[in-house]
Amino acid sequence: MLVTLNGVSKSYRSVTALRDIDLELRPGITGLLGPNGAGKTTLLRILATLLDPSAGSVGVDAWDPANVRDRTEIRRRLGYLPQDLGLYPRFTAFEFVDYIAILKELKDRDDRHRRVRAALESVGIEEVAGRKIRTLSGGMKRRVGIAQAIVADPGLVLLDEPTTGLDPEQRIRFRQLIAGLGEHRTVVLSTHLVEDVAAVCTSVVVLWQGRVLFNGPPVELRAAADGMVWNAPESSPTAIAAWRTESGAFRIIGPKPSGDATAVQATVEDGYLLITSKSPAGVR
Amino acid sequence: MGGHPGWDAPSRTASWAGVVRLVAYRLRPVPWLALIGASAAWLTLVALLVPAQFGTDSAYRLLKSCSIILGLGGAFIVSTEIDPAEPVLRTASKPFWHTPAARMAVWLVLGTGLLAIMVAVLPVTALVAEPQMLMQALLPEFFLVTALSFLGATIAGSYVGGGLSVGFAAALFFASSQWRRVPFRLLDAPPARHASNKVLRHWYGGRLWTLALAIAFLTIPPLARRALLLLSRTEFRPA
Amino acid sequence: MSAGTMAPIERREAPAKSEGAGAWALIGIETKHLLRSILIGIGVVGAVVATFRGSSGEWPTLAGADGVALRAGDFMGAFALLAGAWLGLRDNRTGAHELVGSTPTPPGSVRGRRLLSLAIVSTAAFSLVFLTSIAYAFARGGRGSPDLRLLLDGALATTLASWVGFGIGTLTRSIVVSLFAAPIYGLLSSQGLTYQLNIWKSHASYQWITPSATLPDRSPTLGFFPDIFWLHPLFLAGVATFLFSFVIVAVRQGSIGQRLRGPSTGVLVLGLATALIAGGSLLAKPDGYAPNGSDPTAWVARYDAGTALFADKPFRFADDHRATTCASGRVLTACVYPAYGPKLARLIVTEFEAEAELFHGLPGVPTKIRMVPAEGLDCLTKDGAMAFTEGDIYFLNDQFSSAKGAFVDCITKGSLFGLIDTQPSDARDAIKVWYLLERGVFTPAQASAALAEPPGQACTGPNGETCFDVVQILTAGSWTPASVRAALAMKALPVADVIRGLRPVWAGIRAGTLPLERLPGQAS
Repeated sequence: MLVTLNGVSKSYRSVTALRDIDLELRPGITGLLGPNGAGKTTLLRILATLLDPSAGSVGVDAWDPANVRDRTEIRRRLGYLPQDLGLYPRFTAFEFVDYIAILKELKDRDDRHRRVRAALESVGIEEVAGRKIRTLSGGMKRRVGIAQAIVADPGLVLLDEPTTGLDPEQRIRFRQLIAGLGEHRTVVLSTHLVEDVAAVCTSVVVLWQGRVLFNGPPVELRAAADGMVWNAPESSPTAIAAWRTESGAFRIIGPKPSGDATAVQATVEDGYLLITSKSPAGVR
Repeated sequence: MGGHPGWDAPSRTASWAGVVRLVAYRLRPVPWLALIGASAAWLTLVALLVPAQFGTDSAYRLLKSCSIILGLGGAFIVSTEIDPAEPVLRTASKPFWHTPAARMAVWLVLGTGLLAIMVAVLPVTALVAEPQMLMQALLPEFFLVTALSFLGATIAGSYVGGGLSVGFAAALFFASSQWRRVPFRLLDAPPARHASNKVLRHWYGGRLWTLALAIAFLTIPPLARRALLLLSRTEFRPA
Repeated sequence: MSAGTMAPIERREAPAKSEGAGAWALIGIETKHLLRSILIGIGVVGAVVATFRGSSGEWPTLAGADGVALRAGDFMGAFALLAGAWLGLRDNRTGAHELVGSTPTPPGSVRGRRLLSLAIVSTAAFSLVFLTSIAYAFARGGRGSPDLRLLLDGALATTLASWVGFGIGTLTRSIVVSLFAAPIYGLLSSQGLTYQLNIWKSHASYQWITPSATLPDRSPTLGFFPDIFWLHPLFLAGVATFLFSFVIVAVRQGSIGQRLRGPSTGVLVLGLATALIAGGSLLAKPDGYAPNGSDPTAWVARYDAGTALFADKPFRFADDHRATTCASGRVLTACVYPAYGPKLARLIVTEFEAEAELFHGLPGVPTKIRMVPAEGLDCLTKDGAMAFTEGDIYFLNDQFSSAKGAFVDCITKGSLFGLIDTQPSDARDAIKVWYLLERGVFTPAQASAALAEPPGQACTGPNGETCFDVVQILTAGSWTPASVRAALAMKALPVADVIRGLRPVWAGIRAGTLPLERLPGQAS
């Protein structure tokens, strides 16, 4: 599905969450990065047809979410995992995903149950499918949320902080799942974890204070930090960002620090930190 | 903990401003406006309906019901809905029980005040007793259902716990109306103005029993919890 | 990124839209969870206990057990409201409203299905209470036919309560309001409260337009007076329909005009119209009827009866030939309607046999007690039997057995039943005191001692109730010391002599004109 945003802005009273967003999201996995308050959740809620933009227009294929009928068509093809995931604690995992599947108009009972079981299996919670949600751990609940988002074979998948609460093994499994989803679908993945974006995303959008700061493939984001990443025994006062690594040395982003510093390969995270810093060099 | 170079020991000196601030924070999670609004609306309706009743029995039944329903406010003192951060609060150095104690005190005062206002505006006719006697008729039931609701909410949350307490209160009322030997007389009307000493003793006895039941519902759970703690020496937290 | 080099986008077909199976699947899931709700469970248990309690004071009949279940519906309704409110609150309390809102199923459709699941559960819960009440009455020997319209009425009332709760939970999103609403709703919709209201002092029967209507007077054979159990369910259905549509319309987005477009608005108007028409018809119904003849269709509304109760020629029921279940004693036969069973007939005989034997042989003393459909204006029927109504059954349970006193009242006055004598008569009172002495209610020594006490002393029991001791009987009533002395004089005679002496003057006693000195045993 092709998702286009033209001049989209969103304001809540005195707060402007999004300013003049122009984006085109194609099949594949788009990572949405940004600090807290950047507008990621607002953007996803607009794409999920839960919010109307204050200005601009949104298009999902040929449908316009401002139109009631088109909105229903979009929702038929939508899988959404919100950041604040609300689950019915007395439902079992199976029941809840089945419930959402019914709301997504999967009418045939056998086919629906087959899909529900497949969705639960794909997120690795088939063994606890019969347990009440209130008895599940935080990570398992998150996986229930992911399962309901994919159960109806959606064309547009919006995931807001999907890996919150998942252990490292589950996060790797999740990346495999998302990678498979993104082959034929438009997936938007909002996360704080840059390594998730780096691992699976075909494009990255960086939001900063409601604006798009970067829109391109991860390699380009990484390339933004080329020549700006150093290893040094001590931190540098001119560094844009610096932190101690497990070897005891400091990883420094910014101009070359004085002293004994060696240039190292930049990562996507380095590029993200660089462009979101307040340094003029970081603004594209 | 503490004592190492660079440790910036926090000041733990008490101050009135700090105490006031702490009490305010303890009280804030309770939906006071909703409670007062709902209670006031209900008591206003009762005050309008009472004079329209046929007969003393019907009027007193209505008055008793209003104090019972008012007691449901006890379901919002402490529960998982009101204090989702309870696990964090219990790890603080200040005892957690101060919080329900402060809230309960405020609610009992508020509820008593609302009942007193209603009693004061009721027309004093031959149908009803003097205000003082009326308050004696209404307050123990209010305290009892408050305690029941509080207990129910700590076990099953505000909503389901409140519902459970409605059921349990109904059972208590059924018992007191069916069997004369039940000591807490929850539906009894106040005695006539010039009733005999025997009648008055019976009346006040019933009131005291009701109050005792309310205190029992309030104090037994934390005492039981403490006893279990001492016996098992393991941390026990209610569901 | 350049769009020109990308392959054409593959359009993914959404699942075909079709109603039916999905709707019922959702209703099934919600119903399953509601059936497990502890709130519904408490409501059912409490209502069942209330039916047992309500039944214990009534003679078991299946045609009465249905009414007991309906009265227990007040309790059920409060908890159905709680369950409905919980369902209305759920999405917001759990935070699932975004998930549910992002699905293609319209919010109105989701709520409509939830309301339907509430209706199913409410109906099932009340049906369980109803069947339990019927089964309990049957086990206690009750017979007859329950009125299934009361099952419909109770199910509708419980459903309405649950929908009210759903509306409150959805629109207010407040657990405080929802929790307070439940007992308030139960109290305000209960028949006891509304029956006592006298706000407008009018003839409008507002007790019929509450969700839990007061049960009208009832005859086991002739039904309800008035019969509200087509109109009342219709009224409830109208209110429920209106509420159903209102919840769906209220949730729509857009202006008021936009929200009101669609079939739901038509249903809303239909529900409102139905409720208003049925409610208006109910208000116009009388609160009860005063019988003035054998034909119930000619009976007068009670508030219009006025002085008809004190007519010169009080109405007596003719034999309707329906009281066919009979039992006989030595001098008395009792016949009741079949729904009450032979046990009641035998109990009546046991209860009144001693009185019938005591006064046997006096002119007009009934040798038969027959059940009649309602309270008449005369305690005797046209064929001279004593009339016995459903309400009189309660008097059989009295410790003092005021039914026996009513028998004596009836044979001495032969006119009004249990009301204050329009023509006080010392001779008549003397007969009654003599009867009490013969029955051993008090002894001649107690009666003599009470004569020495000043009259008018009230007696109050330990719990404030009015007690009936000898002093109360003799001094708080209208009986005079002269009538008590006359009774003591008759007590000194054998019973047969008293009856022989009363036979020629009995007509005077019934007319209230006989002087005391003409009673047997009096000093001339």
